Parts: sequence; structure tokens; C-alpha cells
Amino acid sequence: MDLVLQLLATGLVVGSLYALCAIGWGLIYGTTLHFHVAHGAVFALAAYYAYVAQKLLHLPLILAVLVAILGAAASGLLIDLLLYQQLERRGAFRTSIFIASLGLLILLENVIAIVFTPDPMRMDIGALNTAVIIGPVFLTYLHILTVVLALVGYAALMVFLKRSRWGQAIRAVSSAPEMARTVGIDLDRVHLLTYAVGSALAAPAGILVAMDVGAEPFRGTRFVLLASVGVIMGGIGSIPGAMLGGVFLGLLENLGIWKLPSEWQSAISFGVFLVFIVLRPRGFFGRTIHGAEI
Amino acid sequence: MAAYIAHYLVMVGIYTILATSLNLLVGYSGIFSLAHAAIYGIGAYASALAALKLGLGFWGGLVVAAMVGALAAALVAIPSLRVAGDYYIVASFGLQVVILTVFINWTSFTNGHAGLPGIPRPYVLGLVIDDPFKYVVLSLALAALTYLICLRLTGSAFGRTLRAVREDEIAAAATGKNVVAVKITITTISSALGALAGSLYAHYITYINPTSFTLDESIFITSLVILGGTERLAGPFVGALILLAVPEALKFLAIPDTVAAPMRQILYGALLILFMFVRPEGILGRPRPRSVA
Repeated sequence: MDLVLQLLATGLVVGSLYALCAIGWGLIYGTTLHFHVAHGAVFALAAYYAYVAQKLLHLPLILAVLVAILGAAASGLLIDLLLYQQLERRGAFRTSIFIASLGLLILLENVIAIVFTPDPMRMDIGALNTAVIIGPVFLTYLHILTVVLALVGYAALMVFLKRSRWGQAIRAVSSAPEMARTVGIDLDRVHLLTYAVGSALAAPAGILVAMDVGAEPFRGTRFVLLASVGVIMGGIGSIPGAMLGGVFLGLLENLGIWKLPSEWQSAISFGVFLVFIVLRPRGFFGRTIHGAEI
Repeated sequence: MAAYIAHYLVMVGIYTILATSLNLLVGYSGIFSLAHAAIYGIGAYASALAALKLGLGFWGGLVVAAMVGALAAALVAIPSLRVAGDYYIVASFGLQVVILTVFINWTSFTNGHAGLPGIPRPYVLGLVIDDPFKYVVLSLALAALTYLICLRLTGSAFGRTLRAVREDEIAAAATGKNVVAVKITITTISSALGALAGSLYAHYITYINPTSFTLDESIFITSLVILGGTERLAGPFVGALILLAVPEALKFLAIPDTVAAPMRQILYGALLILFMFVRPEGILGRPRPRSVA
């Protein structure tokens, strides 16, 4: 029983990280329909921005994190501005955007690997590393912060989307792009905003993992693909769905090793995913993507 | 030097099979797969195990490889392609992860990281294929066979249906084509052919381990297709000729190994982006009318 509680807690922490990636990726996918795998590179970049800001520029931790989040938002925005929008202007197909995104992911990950070596780069997180023991469960303050930040990120995104004018513009483009254009919404600018917001949400996930176990160049690929699994499970176009999907995957992976050997952990999520899309292709609460939209 | 070139040509043959079969999906059907290295691995393990545990020969191994490869792909294609193409990107990545986990962790069967040594050399018409020169003939012959199969397939009525589905699923469905069945069929055929390359590789190197069948490898095979030319059957062959020569060329520049590997990946990534800008149809491809939206 103690083991189950520990796995549940770890699952919640890991699930919070997946959820942060998933809501950002889901926002971008739902709005632009770009299969933005380079989100994984933004995730990695955020971690290295924080590392550089703290270790090389000697900024205090909190400031380093803020710089990294802004840096990630700018990186996401630039990817859309300089890559995807340029391709769209040339009349590129959706597959071309995906291929370019894949190319950028590989390129950035390997540039990072050359500059910083593939080894984990550790950060100093001071008191955040202190253990918290709640009954049989062992966590650190950082782990608790992770769950809190995921909730804060989710709440902030929902308020932004529902209450602000820009948020409403994003929702308009996401649900009916042509209609949004007709009422005078600039699609390109809304896409840029979506990339900035979505990337800013991936940043905390990248940074928190780096604070826990060090920044690594190739970790983002796995995160972004799990995020896409979470988004599909939650339902495309649904932010609450993406949040739930991310947390669900974290719990699933960790509770899975209660019964299965731990080396099978990475296979669990995808196995369940395949069964899931047979039973409920539109996810927990989303709309189905039809072939014609692709 | 001659043996070196022979080895290069054998690998060109193997990668031509992989990329030509992947082109059926990426180029002709507009289905994107990240699992082709897993399929390649399935072919390699299936035929290696058939040889080591069942004593099956090279040709028997080829058949087993194609069957297991087709089965694995169908298992993933049936649930995901029912929904939409993007689901298959995710599902195929899932397949890639799960299969690699199986190669590494099902140790009683695959021997884990240590891999499977001692895979026998193939016999063709009673002749043992034991040096790279003979293997060049076998490898290129099988590549040519794959090419001919794909040529027949893409030139047939089924091939035209494929392109119709890629261009406009709704229009294809309106003319009475079963879009989902077409997509699942082509994924299965593509994987059966891709698995043949695995079989060829296993019997050539005589030793396999999981490191040859990673996601990076899947992406590399994809680059061959994109660079060579989608929707042109000879495209992947040209892609393989060029991209397999690149690492060999890099060997002449005295770059340390720790930098050379990421450098290669950076090059592939940059080429993928560059081609999407200047020539999305690849080196040999015919330009397609661009979408207006």
C-alpha cells in the first residue's frame, strides 16, 4: 500500500510535467493544426536557458527561470514566424510543415548536444531539494512546486483564453479560422501569440525537470510525443482534456510499474493509447479530427 | 578499398528497400510514419530468430520477416488510421518505442542489449553468400525486386486510388473507395517490404542488437525519402546513394566521434528544413501544384 501511495505521488508529479507540455502543445495544435514536434526543442531550450542564466550569467534562480520562460516564448514565436509562416506563404502542405518541424527538432537537439555535451547539466536549486516526508510518501519541495505550477499554468491559461480579448481571438481561430478571418482577426498574429503562450507553458516543464535531474538535450522528443498522446486522449481542442490526459499518462506510467517490471514503463503509455483510440477516438471530451481537415 | 565500396553498395541496397517501401506511405499516400526503423528491426529479429531457433534458411526468414512486419504494422494501423493521419504519426511513434523496448527487455528471446550473434550467411541456389561482393548482388537484386513490386503497385488502379485518397479523402470516398481500407492495406504492404530489409541486414552483418533500430534511424530513413524525392520511385535510391556517402565523407575530415554523430544529425535536420523551402518534392520529384490556402 505504501508503494502505491508513493507511485501515486510520483505519478502526479510526472503527470504535471506531461500536462504542462500537453496543454501548450494542444493549444498550438488545436489552433494552428501544425503537428509541432519542435515543441520538444523548445522544452529543451528552456532548460538550457535557465542553466545558462544561473550558471554562466550568475542570475538568482527565480530570475533565471523567468528569463528562461521568456526565452522559450520568444523561441516558439520565432519558429512560427521564421519557419512555419514562411512555408505557408509558399503554399506548403501540412506534411511539409511537419517535416520541417521534425528537421528543426533534430537540428536544435544536436546543436545543444555539441555545445553542452549530451551529459546532464545540473543546476543549484538550494532548499527546493529538501525532502518532504508525508506519511509513507517521499517527495522534495521541487516536486510539490511542480504540481502547484502545473495547476497555476492551467488556471492562468484558462483565464487568459476565456477572459482576455487575445485569448478569445485564439479560441475563435481554433474553432473556425475562416469565420475568425471574416470578422477581422489577423490569423498570422494569432498564430504567433499561440506559439508564444504554448511555448511559455512548455518552459516550466523543461526547467523543472532540469532542476530535478539536470538539463539534457534529447529529453524533449519523448515529452512532446507523450504530450501529443495526452492531447489526443484528452480530446483535440480541449485544454481541460489535455491537462487530464497529461496527468493520466503520468499516473499510468507510474502505477503501471506496481504490477509490471519498470523497464516496460515507456511501453505502457503507448500500449494504452492504442487501445484507447479504438474505444474512444475523440478522447475524453474533444472533437474528432476528420481526414478532410488534415 | 574495393571491399569498402562493396559494403557501401550493400547498405545502399538495404536502405533503398527501406526508403522505397516508406515512400509508398509518405509519398504516395500522405501517411507519415515514424516506425520504419522498428519495422526494419522486426524484420531483422524475426529472420534472425527464425534462423537461430527454428533453423530456417534465408528465404524462409524473408517470408517470416515480411509476415511479422506486416502484422505489427496492421496492429497499429487499424486503430489509428480509422481516425486520421495525424493519429498515425503518434501511433507509429508509439510502435517505435514499444518495439525498441521489446528488443531491449525481452531478453530470453532477443538477448537484450547484447544482441543476437552468429546469424548464418544466406545460401542462394546452393551458393553461400559470404563476402561483400556476392552480397552486393543479392542486396541490389532484392532492392530491384522491391522497386518492381512498388512500380507495379503504384501504376495499378490501386496506386491511383492511393493518390486520390492523398489528394482528397472525401472525393475518393464519394467515388466509392473505402479510404480506411486503402490506407491500412498500403501501410501493411509497406511494412512487409520494409521488414525484408531487416532480414537482409541481419544475414549480412550476422549480428544484430537494438541500437540499429532506434527513432534516429526512422528519421534517417524518412530523410532518404524526402531528399531523394517523394512520389518518384527512384527517389529513395538517389537519396540512399547520397546520404549514405555523407558519413563516409565526414570520416575524411578529422572530426572526433563525439562531434561527428551530432554533426550528421544536424546536417539531416538542416537538409529536411532546406528541402521543404526549396524543393519539397525532393531531388527527383515532380513539383506538385501547391495548396492555395
